[in-house]
Amino acid sequence: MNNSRSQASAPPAPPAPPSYEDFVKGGESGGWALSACAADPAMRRAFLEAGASEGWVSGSKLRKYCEKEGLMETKGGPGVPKRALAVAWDLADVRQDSRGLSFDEFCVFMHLLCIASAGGSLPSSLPPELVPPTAEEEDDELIARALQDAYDDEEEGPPSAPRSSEVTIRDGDGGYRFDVDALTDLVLAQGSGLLELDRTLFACDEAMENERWSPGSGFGSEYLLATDVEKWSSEDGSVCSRDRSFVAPTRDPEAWRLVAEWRVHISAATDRYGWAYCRGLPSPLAPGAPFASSASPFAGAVARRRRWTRLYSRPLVSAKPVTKSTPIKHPALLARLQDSFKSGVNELNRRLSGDQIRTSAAAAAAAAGKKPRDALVSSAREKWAGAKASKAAIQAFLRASALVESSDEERASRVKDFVRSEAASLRKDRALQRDPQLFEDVLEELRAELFRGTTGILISECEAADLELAEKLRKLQPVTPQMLDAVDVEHIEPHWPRAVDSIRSIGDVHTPKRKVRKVRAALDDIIACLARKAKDGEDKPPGADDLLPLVILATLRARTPSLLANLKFVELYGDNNIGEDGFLLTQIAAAASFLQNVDATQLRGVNVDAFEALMRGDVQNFNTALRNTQEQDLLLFPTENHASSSSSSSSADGHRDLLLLLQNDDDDEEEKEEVKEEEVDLEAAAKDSSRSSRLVSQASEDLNSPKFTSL
Amino acid sequence: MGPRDNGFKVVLLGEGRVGKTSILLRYVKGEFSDRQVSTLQASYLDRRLAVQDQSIQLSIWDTAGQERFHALGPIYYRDADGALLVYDITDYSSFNKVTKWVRELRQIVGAEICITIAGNKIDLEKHRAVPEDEALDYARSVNATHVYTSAKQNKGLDHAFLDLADRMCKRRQAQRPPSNPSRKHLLLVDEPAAPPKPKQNNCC
Repeated sequence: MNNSRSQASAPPAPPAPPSYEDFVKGGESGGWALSACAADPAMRRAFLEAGASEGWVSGSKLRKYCEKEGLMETKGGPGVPKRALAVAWDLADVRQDSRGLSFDEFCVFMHLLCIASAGGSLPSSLPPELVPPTAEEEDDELIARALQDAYDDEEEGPPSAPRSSEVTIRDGDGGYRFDVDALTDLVLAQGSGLLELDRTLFACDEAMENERWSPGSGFGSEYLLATDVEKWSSEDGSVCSRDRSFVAPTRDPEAWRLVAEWRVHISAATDRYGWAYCRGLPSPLAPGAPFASSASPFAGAVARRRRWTRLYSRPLVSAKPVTKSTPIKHPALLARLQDSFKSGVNELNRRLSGDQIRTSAAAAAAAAGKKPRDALVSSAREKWAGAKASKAAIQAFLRASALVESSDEERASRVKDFVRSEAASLRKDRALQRDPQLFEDVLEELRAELFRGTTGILISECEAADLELAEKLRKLQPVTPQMLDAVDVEHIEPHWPRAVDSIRSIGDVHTPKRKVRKVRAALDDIIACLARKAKDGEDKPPGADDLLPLVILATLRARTPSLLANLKFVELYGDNNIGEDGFLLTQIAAAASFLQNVDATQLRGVNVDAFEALMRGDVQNFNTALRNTQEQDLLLFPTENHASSSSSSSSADGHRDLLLLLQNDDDDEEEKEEVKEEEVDLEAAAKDSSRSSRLVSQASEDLNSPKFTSL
Repeated sequence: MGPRDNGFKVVLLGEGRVGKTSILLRYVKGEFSDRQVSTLQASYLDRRLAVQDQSIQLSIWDTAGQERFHALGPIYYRDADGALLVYDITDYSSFNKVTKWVRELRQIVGAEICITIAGNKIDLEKHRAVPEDEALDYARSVNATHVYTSAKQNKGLDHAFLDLADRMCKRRQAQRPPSNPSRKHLLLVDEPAAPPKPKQNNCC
């Protein structure tokens, strides 16, 4: 190794450079010699300054960094010769991969650089005590696993409480024994932790434990970054503390009996200590959905979390007994709960569990003397945000009542009672007493909270009918406005698409009022379409005769998910069923009913054969049958114009309608279109046929697309 | 007092083109064709009326009259307190349709629903196709009121709705447990006499 230049630029250097061993003499015996160095925050800062990203710093960045910091020799300046830098890099890059240096390798590099800059010579191979412990494996996954193994070998036994305890639930004819873990799972799947089982309420508190990975040291909560959550947090990170009892305060012992102390929640999504590994942690500054996680460590997993749960119970005492609650029998219980509720409720629960923790944190804050309430809150939203008691009541109510088997109607009357009682307690608020509008708005916020995502739970009797309707609507897509005697408005932008979209999104909003508002928006747009179509001098607003066919068409095109359940929901939970809201709702209900029962006799120009083909999903035969009918009609009524040519209905009524239609058309078009009548007809016919063929091809695509095979 | 206490739902039934929509429009604005009518009002109308010394809220629902939508009837007239069945005096089949509606209403909703049968287009008296005697006799036989209306000339509409409202009120009071027997004297109060005034002004 030629160090002549380096010796020249280091004046006090002895003629024979000290060996590497001279520098590390007296170093710790065993273990990584640089762990103290790696623990120094300054070193981590240097690593970041050097341009590390995602745990790696590249050669070019490191070179620039050394240049900037004066660590690399420049012409005539001090510093470490480039050659020595290259050697240090080679030695430090233990893994010899293309990503550059990891933090521990960076520590080695800096260490070697120190030696070189002090005039020491670099070893030809990296001494074992300098090899970072984590670098002994080649693969990151192996490294992580080794870490995990090391962790596993630690004393920290899995959750302290014995994991085989059982809970007994009493029932009329004996009791059921539940494994605490199974019960906890059930409660967690139910909702932020409340489950009613045979008049006993089970509650589950949750807290997440967070750790970050530190190179060389493994996972630990002491390595959490300033932007991370603290050691304990809610799932979304909105509440966090070093103290678990802040995240989930102890419950009132007078009301709640502790069934099982804190224990780690272990599932298929975690390792055997309950840890789930992820790429990052939520930040309390921007709480949100946590990172996706894996049950085992993986490359890039810089953090891990695990869920602790604590189970409480209390006998269910309510002012008035719950109506007709069927006792739940055990054997089928788990299966039914999991099947019928898990899917629909999961989303709700996830959200609620966040709220639950927030609420308890707020309760803790209140207990600590910080009053969250402010007399000057003005907007309903803010007001509602402050109504923690109501929120907690909603969650408790939802979770407690969700399981009781009853009809939709019984459930509705209980939910309405609940809303009434909550409204009464809201009314105690002075500000709300003064401002009735604000009170209404806050009440609406309450409903929004209560009904968010719960339509499917509150209305359970429409599922089969909804599936059937969805299937029928899919098949009916080739139906054209002409077949419904509807004015063809499907090309009118932006009103028509917007109307369809409003109907489609009825389920996206949650309170009866907001759902009705969607319907109103849709009808306004449909009416606007009709107004656009109306001829000059005749802008009489459309009556039901004109409106209903278009509402049907829009409902057909919208294919609203769970339409019937949504309609029944508004019917049961809305409060003005004879007023305008009721009328609006009835329009959609009538359209849905028509579409549910529609057959060949109700579609103009569609004979039984064609309709059957349509219901088989056989669009091709539908078209053929349709063409045949139309040709027959054209032969039967050779003078009719196209728009109303396709009556196959032999009923007197249908025929009279048709004649009236023809008369009207004649009246309207006589003056303007006498001359070009034939041409126009041909054009219209061409347009119509191209449109319907487009629709048909769309529909057949729909039929073939895979998303429908699952139906 | 809940909305149901003084709210009444009235459905408008009748074959297509007998003039249901015109009746509603006429009734809402007091004019045959008004460009300012807001959108939904041609098919749904809220109207406040003073009947029997109390203020009531009439919700009038238009329905689609086409034969193919006939089966949807029950969806519309569920919870209805009254029905205005409209036929065209120049079209006998529309009167036939009315008899069909009456049978259905009595069957499905029951006897409580108040029915008014309205012979519309009385301005076309010379083309009358439905004999007056037959219509009146029929109305009597089904315990319904018969009125003549002309949406075009604004005839008979106020009377038709007021009469219907009056009967609905009486029926609801009769159904109610006799908690307030003071309401025995029925007082028919007209709407605040606002409409005539502008006309006078126009004349002067």
